[in-house]
Amino acid sequence: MKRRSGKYIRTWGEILFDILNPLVLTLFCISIIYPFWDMVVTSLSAPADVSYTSFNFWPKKVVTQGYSYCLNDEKFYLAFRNSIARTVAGTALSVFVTSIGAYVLTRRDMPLRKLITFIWVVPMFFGGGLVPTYLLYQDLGLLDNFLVYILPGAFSMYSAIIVRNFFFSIDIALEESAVIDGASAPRVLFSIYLPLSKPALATISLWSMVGHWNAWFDNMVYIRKEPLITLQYLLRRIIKETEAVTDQAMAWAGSIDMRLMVNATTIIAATTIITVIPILLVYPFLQRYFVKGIMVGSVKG
Amino acid sequence: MLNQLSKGETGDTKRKKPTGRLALVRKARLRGYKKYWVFYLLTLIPMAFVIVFSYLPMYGIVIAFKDYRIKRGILGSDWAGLKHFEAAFKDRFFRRALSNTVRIGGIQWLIASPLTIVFALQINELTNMRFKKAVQTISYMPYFLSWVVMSSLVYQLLSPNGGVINILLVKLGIIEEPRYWMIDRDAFMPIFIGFNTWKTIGYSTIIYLAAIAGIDQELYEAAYLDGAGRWRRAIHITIPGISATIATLFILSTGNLISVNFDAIFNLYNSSTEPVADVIGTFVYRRGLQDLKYDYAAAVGLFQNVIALLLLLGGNFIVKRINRDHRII
Repeated sequence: MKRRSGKYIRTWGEILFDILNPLVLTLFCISIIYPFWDMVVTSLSAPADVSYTSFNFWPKKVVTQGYSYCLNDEKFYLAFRNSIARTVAGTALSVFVTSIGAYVLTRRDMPLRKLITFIWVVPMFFGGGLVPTYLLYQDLGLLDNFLVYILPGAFSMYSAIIVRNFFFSIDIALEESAVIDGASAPRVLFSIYLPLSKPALATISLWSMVGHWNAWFDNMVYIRKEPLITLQYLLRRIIKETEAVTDQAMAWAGSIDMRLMVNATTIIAATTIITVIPILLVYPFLQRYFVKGIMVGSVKG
Repeated sequence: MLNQLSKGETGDTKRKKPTGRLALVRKARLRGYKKYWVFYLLTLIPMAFVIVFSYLPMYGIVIAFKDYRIKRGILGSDWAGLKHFEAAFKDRFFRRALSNTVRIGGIQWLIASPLTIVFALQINELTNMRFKKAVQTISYMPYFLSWVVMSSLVYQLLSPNGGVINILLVKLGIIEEPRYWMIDRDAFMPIFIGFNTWKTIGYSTIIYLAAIAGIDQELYEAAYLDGAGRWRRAIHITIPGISATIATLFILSTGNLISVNFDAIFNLYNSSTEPVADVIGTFVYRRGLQDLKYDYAAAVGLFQNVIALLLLLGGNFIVKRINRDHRII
């Protein structure tokens, strides 16, 4: 807090802070990166090379058997395909339905608009819960049906509000002149609003993509058929199976035979990496858009 | 309503003789229906999804008040009044789940909220823009991973078999030999809160950083000229500047007290840690979909949802009092 000829001099505390603060943040970032690196190393190591007592910063010998196991496994192939399919189909449907909802919400003087908004907002804060939902899907024939992946989340009010706010920023004159030229309402949406709203659409599609790719619960609860399995759920199952084996070994011998887990460890690591890669690929785009998304967190009808 | 409607259409309404307010409103509304009929048709598309996937399950809640028999269906089953709710409060396992939920949710809430603010301030104080950007990019990342992937990372890190944390603890001499932390009841809470915070803290700072960015820069300059150091500027300008955001988020997150992240618990707990880890969400899942006690589980689920809603509405009410702009409803 000293000043000399208008120049600000840092106090000792501030100098210390300027050293410690970046250090702490760097350590935190390492704590995020290292586990992934560790996972990559494990996935590329021969089971026998996974050391029990010292860090493995680098595989002793690069072995791809974890990955080749995954790629040769028919179930893994199916799971990967299903995850892609639900992500693509689910996102497309969701963007379509959500932008229609957003479009309707832009009609400020439309009678019943408040009621419609209310009906759409309530489910953001209250739901039927797991069991009624399960029973409903049973009645609708959605159990063991691929549609259970894509239909329930098709309309998101949260996303609709983001898109609606973006629509509001588009010059109304564009719409008016199109209407004078005889464009119908859906046409105005699809050839004026949507092409001009790419950032908003990118935001909600990325959200939807991540949501679909990461989903596992619907697979576990509503799908029993093996051909409909998704990658996340497959990964969960492998982890749980390995855990069960380990638990059993613990119960039997009181200690863990280290070698028992190792093979599975490599396969889990490879599966995890393959599961994460698509997220990492879209992450740069995600990061560009998600800040906008989180800032529109408030609902004002 | 009347004002809004007549604004755009004064030309029309003037020509006709007004026959009382009500008639006018009705007429304007009719004209609105006509004008917007295409939009009503469009509304039906999202509306169908909302009705089927949000409201029909809400209707299904009635089974919480019934003796549900699969053969007789929801309508045909006999009413049971509050039987299932009474049973729940006598159920040792429900009470355990309830107390675990409040305990885990409460501690998570008390730890994560201040840590997030500290983390946001730390990021804000960075002067090297490239480093700041890198920290943000890296720290936001785990938010986008599923809890399945997270559990894979957690199991790997804590593995008794070459897990980094065990190796580290052994090397530091804190423990003598690697432990299997995932089945250790005492370790569950720290593991859960640690990794949950690790996953979301970076992302949660976004809203605080945005609030900080909204603070008038002139305040900082004035304080600087008055000789206030960085610490004093943070205490006297930054924190008061985001206090409304802090209060809002803190209050609105009271919902955490009754609904602990299901995905996180479900992917981290196992039969060994269940006594300390089982929360209402996981309890409902097991009772409902594994033991097939649909009505009972629906009642417990309803109890949780209602409490969560009340906490949210209560929080919203308080926030409204503090600052109308921050309310969510």
